[in-house]
Amino acid sequence: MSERTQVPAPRTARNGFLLFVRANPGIAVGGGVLALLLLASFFAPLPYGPTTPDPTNVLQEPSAAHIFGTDANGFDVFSRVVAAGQRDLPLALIGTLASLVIGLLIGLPLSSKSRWSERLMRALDAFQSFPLIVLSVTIVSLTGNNIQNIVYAIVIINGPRFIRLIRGEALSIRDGRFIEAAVATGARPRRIVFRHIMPNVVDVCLVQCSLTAANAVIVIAALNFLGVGVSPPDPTWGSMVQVGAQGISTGQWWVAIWPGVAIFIAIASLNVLANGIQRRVEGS
Amino acid sequence: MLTVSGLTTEFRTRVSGVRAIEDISFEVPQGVAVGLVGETGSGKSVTIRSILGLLPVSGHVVGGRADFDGVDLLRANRKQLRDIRGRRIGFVAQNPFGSLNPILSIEKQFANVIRAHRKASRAEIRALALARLESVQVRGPERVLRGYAHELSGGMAQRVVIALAMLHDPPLVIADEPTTALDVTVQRQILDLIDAQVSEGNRSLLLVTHDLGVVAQYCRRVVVMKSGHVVESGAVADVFTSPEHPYTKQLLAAVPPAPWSSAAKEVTGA
Amino acid sequence: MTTSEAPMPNLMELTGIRQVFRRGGKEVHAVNGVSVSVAPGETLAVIGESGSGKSTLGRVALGLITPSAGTVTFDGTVLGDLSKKDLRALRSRMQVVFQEPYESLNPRIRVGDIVEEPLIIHRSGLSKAQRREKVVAMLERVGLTAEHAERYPRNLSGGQQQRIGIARAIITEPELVVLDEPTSSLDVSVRARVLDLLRDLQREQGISYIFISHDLATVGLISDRVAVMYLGQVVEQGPTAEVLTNPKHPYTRALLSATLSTVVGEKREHVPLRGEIPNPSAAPTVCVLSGRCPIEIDECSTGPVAHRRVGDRHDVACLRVDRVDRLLPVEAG
Repeated sequence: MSERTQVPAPRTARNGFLLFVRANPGIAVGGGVLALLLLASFFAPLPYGPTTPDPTNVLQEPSAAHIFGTDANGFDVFSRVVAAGQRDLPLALIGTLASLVIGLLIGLPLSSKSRWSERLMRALDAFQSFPLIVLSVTIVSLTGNNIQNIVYAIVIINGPRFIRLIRGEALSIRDGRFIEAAVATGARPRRIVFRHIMPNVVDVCLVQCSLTAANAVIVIAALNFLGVGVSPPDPTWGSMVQVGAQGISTGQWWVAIWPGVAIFIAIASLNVLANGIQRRVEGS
Repeated sequence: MLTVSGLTTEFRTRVSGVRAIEDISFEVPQGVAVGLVGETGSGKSVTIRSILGLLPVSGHVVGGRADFDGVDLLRANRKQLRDIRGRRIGFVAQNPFGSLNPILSIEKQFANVIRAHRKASRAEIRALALARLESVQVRGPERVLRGYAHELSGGMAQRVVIALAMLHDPPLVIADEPTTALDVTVQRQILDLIDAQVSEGNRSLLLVTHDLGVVAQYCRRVVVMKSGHVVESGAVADVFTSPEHPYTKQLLAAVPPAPWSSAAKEVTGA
Repeated sequence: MTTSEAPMPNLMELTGIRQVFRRGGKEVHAVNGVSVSVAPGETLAVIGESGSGKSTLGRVALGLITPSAGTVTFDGTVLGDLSKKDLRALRSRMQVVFQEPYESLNPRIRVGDIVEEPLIIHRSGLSKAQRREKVVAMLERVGLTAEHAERYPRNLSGGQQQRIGIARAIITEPELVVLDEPTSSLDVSVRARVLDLLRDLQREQGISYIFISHDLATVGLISDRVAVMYLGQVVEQGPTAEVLTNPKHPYTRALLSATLSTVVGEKREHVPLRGEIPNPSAAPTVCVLSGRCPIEIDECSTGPVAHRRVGDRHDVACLRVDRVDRLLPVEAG
């Protein structure tokens, strides 16, 4: 339809923002909650020091003084849950970005239909059939058992997924008429990959990034729960769940539940964000 | 036969509404072929989809009437519409492979269409299907009945679709660009076939097309659409020889004449 | 339209082109021994239905695919002899415009950058400012404005998108442009204006066109010579006016009779071809139209049919040339 009678709406900054929110509720809600979590973990004023124990107040139920209660060491659970975001969230995001970069650097060149690229993909299949979480535990332990090295674990698990996704997407873009047009223009292979194919995989990469970040939050929590990469008394959600897990059977549910809720909110907001991006991409 | 008046349809998204067609009025008299022409975005497809109740979920008819058989199709309930579609109005779409079910045998699809409107035994269905396939000049109808859509060429598949559309001898046939997806040398055969089937039963035809040549040779009346509005309508003989609306003039002037036609002779002679 | 009196050296010559694809273990003979040529400033129309091999022939001419057999010569250079680097360099002199205007433009690149790209690749001597200047001039030449440079392809109409495709193709001033159904997906009113633009550009710059189409009426407006393809072979070739008004091959007549006139009541006899186009799975050794032809005789399906000359540069591959006039009266009215 060439002539359309648009519902008129004056374009102001505030109006534009509201329109965006109405048209993209997933991105607004998911992204908003995620931003709140990040801001809170770094800037929220905490009632107690997250690593200062209060031995006189051990395993207190949630109360006005300690709204999430205290744990066996007398740490304030609320302060630790919020502060743990300082480690878990940036780590998840850095791991995701590293996986993306590896996916682009390997996946794009592998999108040419050569015998070599097929062989390398089979090698990747073999690699992915390993129990990667076990491999990650080994690698993090060998490279020095600190939390930064969990990035390797995230990349080992998610890098291959990015490679596969980007290569597949690039392969289908390569069949496109505009790629043929670029070849006919005389563009060199490198120009075709970086100028013509790469901008067109951005959409799927954005979706995959939010899904990967959600997965990374789980990987971090799982490894921390197993005690990998933990340096007490620094709080992380995984290690807090582990510490609190013993208390659940004896009635101190609050120690494990609150970090669990934090993990849930982080993952849910990332998944909602991924869904929102997906919808926007499909709509355009 | 079919009288459309003031038909207006909107598409609504979460943030905005778009008026696709506005105040569309025309009629399809008994036994007459009417061509509905327009370019991309003129709203010709939306018009017939509104009439047939086949709009996508975002489409809403917001006004007008479409009277057929004493029923306003725009206000008919699902059951009425289902009864009218197929039994009283035959529909031929652009892509025959979109109209045929890829996982059902052709015979099964004949059975479905027949049984949607009446009871019939297997033998009865078979005999009717064979007769109808022969009437649309499908070669080897027994083999076609046993087979599936993907085994057919585009032209054969469209013949099967036409046979299915004609099964209940509908008094009105609506064809939406029925030859656009087909090869040039097959297009004429399909048009001739539709023409024969329609005039045989003194049926009415609403033929949606972007091809003015098709309208000139196969239709008696024409409705010209542009940007969601009817700009001109009337007898083909009048509109094509002395178009009144500037858009119709422009459209007619833009079509390159068939190389053998008298119009081409004027061009090369000048 | 030009009628070349003195024989000019051809700009492009395709000789004995064959193209065999493998599809699911089966061989598909897309192009089957085709020889055509294009003189400087001339338009050769290649006409045929889907599956005739006309688009494959266009890609072979551009060196986008290497033919299974035969040679492509451009201005004396055999494309098959060139290194990848030299072939890329040659691409500034031969360009292409595709049928689907939107699909042939990268959706993530602004229109101005799309038109600029050939200059970046082939005119490394130009500064950024000089390139932009040329881009704006080119946009204006194809009927757009500098303002369009900032837009993305999806924000343009089909006709405007095709103008961008044309601008990209001619900005390096190529000698040959392959037009692969450039107007088929456009509405009639837009189609006429794009054809006008192509004709004007040819007149100004002396470009040669290979105009691939399935529409005889359009071909009549733009080409000097026409080659009619069916099942990977050229069945008739000659000056456009001659082929369109006095076709000598039954298939050309069938194509012509399928074109509908917009003059009311001018309905022509239809030349019926039996059945539909078969798959070109085997290289035919007999007349390609045998089995569908209305005036076929036994000899048509017993051996290959050679081209014979029936007029000024007018060749036909048919044994029944003398009978074809009875098939359908060509004169109108």
